[in-house]
Amino acid sequence: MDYQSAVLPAGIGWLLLAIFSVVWVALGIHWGRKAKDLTGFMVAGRNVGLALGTATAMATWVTSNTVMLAPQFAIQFGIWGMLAYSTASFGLFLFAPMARRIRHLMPNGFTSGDFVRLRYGKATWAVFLVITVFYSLTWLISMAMAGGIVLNTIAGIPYEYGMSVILLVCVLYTLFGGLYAVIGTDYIQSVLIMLGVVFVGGVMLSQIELSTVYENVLADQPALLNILLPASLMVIFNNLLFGFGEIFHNNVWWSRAFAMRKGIGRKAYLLAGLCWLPIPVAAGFFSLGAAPLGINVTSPDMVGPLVATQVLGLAGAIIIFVVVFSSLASSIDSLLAATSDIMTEDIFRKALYPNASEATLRKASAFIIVGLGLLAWLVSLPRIGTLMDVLFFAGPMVASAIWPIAAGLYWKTTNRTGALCALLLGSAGGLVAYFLIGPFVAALVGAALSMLMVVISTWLAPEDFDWELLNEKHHEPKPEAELV
Amino acid sequence: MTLFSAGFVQAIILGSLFLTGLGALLLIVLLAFDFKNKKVW
Repeated sequence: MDYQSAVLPAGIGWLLLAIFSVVWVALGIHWGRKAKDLTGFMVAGRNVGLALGTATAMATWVTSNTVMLAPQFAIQFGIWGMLAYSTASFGLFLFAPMARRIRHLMPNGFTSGDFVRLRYGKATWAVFLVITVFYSLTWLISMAMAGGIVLNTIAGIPYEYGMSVILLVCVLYTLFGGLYAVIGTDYIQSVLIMLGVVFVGGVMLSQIELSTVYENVLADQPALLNILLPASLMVIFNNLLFGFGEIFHNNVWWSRAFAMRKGIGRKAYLLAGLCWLPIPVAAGFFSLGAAPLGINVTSPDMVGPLVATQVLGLAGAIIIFVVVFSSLASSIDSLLAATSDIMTEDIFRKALYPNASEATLRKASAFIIVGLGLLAWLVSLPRIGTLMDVLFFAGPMVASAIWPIAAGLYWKTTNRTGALCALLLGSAGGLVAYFLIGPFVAALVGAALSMLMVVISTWLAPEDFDWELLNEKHHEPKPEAELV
Repeated sequence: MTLFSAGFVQAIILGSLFLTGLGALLLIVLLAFDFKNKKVW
């Protein structure tokens, strides 16, 4: 890949990385003291308030893509590209009432897997676990790779070192602090991201007129202003459905719903969506403003760093570094925690060792976090290329989960066979569409087939599900001494 | 080709920067309230 040269001297990049690493791990150790038991470690005591709840939902959804890829969308797909990227926030909006419902129906729940198992039985649970673990691993690996690439492009830090450090830091503070550390650092990261974007954008506005930006685009690339640019319209739908599927099914979001205090979930997710919505548009402005600022962009994903450096010099480069580090860490830590939770709770405890003690489960969780970090590191190290194709590949599988999850939460008549078939048919059909038509329709086809299956099976063979069955009375894992 | 107007483009850019800043302020205010009411976590 041909990148324009780094905007930040490597020495400063390393210094910033070192400072953040030490501070974040220290915070992990400090907040980890609050996690007195498994409930504390996995769902932060189920008492997270509105501020931290909003911040963690928003920060987790901000990845390095939001800041680095959104400008690229603006260059490729124009105004609709920026707006299309923003539609990913709709997943947060739609999950808001679901977060409340989840908390109400499952006051003792830990994972999205718990819901699928209790609602639809073991067969559907098994298929769901395959989908969600595969997707989560892919996402985690893609974030680790993005970390290495981005730190290399911004500060010239060698890919292997940057990727390794950011992964190690996230593993360490997640290991020490569990969801408390993840949520606490997410708060700091979300404020840093938003302030960074606003500051750079604000300084840009002081140096160029918006009318000049518009005239520039109109003269050079009028297609970017086209209201009916077909490619953009396809991107909107694919982004929307991918976002819904990802947020509805993934334990990253469910664990937060379980972690938030009662009455907080709906408000937090709504506010998180509102906080997230404008960020891709603001980031897209960076790329539209590049030409009037006299910046010649040859690597579209470097637009953000280049613009920030142009308007603010070294300070701008530092701000971008901090914003990107924050967006990477906020996603990697969430994936580590949520994936380890689902593997500990669903596979280790529920499937294999139902009588495992508290200490055994904490140990299992720790091993799994380290194991996930190691796996991500090993796969990322050779830098095999972009994982976007693999992520799109997972799109139909993830989209196939939208209707079984949504219907399962609200319709007591949706039956388990219908849900299982919806997952299988949606995934298979979507994958066929992926290969025969293209990646951008795969999620749409997967979601549509899944929807048809859920609706038809519910109509033909309505169940009468007892919602009380979701209120699983966990026997709390016994302390080690009592098992002897 | 029907194009987005200059006014619309300017509005969404200014609006997005404004909302992003407002979001940051909101988070800070919310945390202050949660601290005051001892409801942080």
